Amino acid sequence: MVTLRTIDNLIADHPFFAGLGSDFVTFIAGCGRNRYVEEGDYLAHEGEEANAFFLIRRGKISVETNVPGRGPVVLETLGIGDIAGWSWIFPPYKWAFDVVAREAASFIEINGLCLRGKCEADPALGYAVLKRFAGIMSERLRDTRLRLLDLYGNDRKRS
Amino acid sequence: MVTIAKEVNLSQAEVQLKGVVAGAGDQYLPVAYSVTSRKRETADTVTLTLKPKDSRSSVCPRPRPGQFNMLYVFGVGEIPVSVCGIEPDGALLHTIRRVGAVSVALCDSKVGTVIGVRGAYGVGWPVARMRQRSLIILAGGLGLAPLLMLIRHVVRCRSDFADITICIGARTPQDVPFLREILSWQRLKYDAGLFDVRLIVDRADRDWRGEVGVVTSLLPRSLTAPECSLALICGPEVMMRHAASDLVRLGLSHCDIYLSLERNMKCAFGLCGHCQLNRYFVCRDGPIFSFEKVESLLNVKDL
Repeated sequence: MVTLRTIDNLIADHPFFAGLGSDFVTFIAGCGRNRYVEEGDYLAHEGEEANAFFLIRRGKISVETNVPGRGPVVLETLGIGDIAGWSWIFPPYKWAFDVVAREAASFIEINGLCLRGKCEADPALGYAVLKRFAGIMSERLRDTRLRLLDLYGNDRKRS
Repeated sequence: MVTIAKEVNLSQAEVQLKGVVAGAGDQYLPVAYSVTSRKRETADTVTLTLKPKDSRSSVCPRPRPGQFNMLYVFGVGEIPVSVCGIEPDGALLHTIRRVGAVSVALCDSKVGTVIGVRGAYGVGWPVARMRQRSLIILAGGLGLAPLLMLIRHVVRCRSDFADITICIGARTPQDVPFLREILSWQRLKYDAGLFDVRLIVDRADRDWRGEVGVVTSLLPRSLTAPECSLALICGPEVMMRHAASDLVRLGLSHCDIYLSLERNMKCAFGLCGHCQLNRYFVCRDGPIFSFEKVESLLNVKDL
């Protein structure tokens, strides 16, 4: 027998929303929909209006930017259990980078405009959501700083 | 009075030191080994196969995973290099990156070159503590080399362990050492337990089909039984500090996280003090340490 899983179930099971109360999950689920993309499909284009974020359930996506003379450069890959997109939270609500499916991917797309409205109306929900985003931002900032160090670079002069 | 006491202490120390140095004489003597093959791993990394120069010459004791040898290029100098493998005939495999005068000379050595070898030194990975545990193995850059013998052992004796997660990071796809072997691990299938080998690079273009990011991002988000897990980490010290902190957050005990440290090792048996790290000599008491022993020391700048 196939058990149909609702958006509520999928959101509650996603690591990003782990521990979130069921009332809040239902609130957020009201802004969500299930999506599937094929390899090479764009989930977001740099500079365009950012009105969503993605909870990845299956597959792999990448955050990319186009460098003149080099073409698309992959900044980071994200997979099962990751999230992509926080440009919907802050003005001017524009995507800072491209988001591309590296392989076929399933994810929950949360409408940012819808969730922003709910967060404005309910500060407790807003705090719970922003706390999770702050955690992810802090984690990715640390990872980026570590990569900035170029730790594997051969710049040490020793024996 | 104070001066006299100091003199007495000094002379006692001198007597002790003379005794130690006298006993250490033989330990400084290298054994002559010949380079029998040279394999280029990446643009700046080479693996040398070393065999005793002739059948009558003595051989170094068989190293355990995580131990290192001192490799001496005659007329240039001597450096510590971890052992990354042992051939069935006992030949030693050492992977070396071009960094300074001695490592460049080692990388450039041709088949037939004679190299002095002393070893094996140091404390290896805690193989006895690994049995029946879930293992998280994290390697950054050439930090994979000191873990290579250990991973091969884990692959060979898969049923001795619970879940196995191997996370490997490199600078770019071109800088991944032992790529063929990593890909062969990724193809392995076992009936029971997780066996996950993941590779990530700091930067890449679109031709790279693998993952892009920092190696610590490959660590599991949660562990079902952290008390039954053991982590083994080798790579740049900054990466290891962050990885160890992440693992503690995941519930691993400090004593179940092991790091391989790198310091300026000269004598390799705890005599000269070049590699001193507070109360430890990295060459003798390490280079593998539990996070419990060194956590506070790693946060001291320039130690």
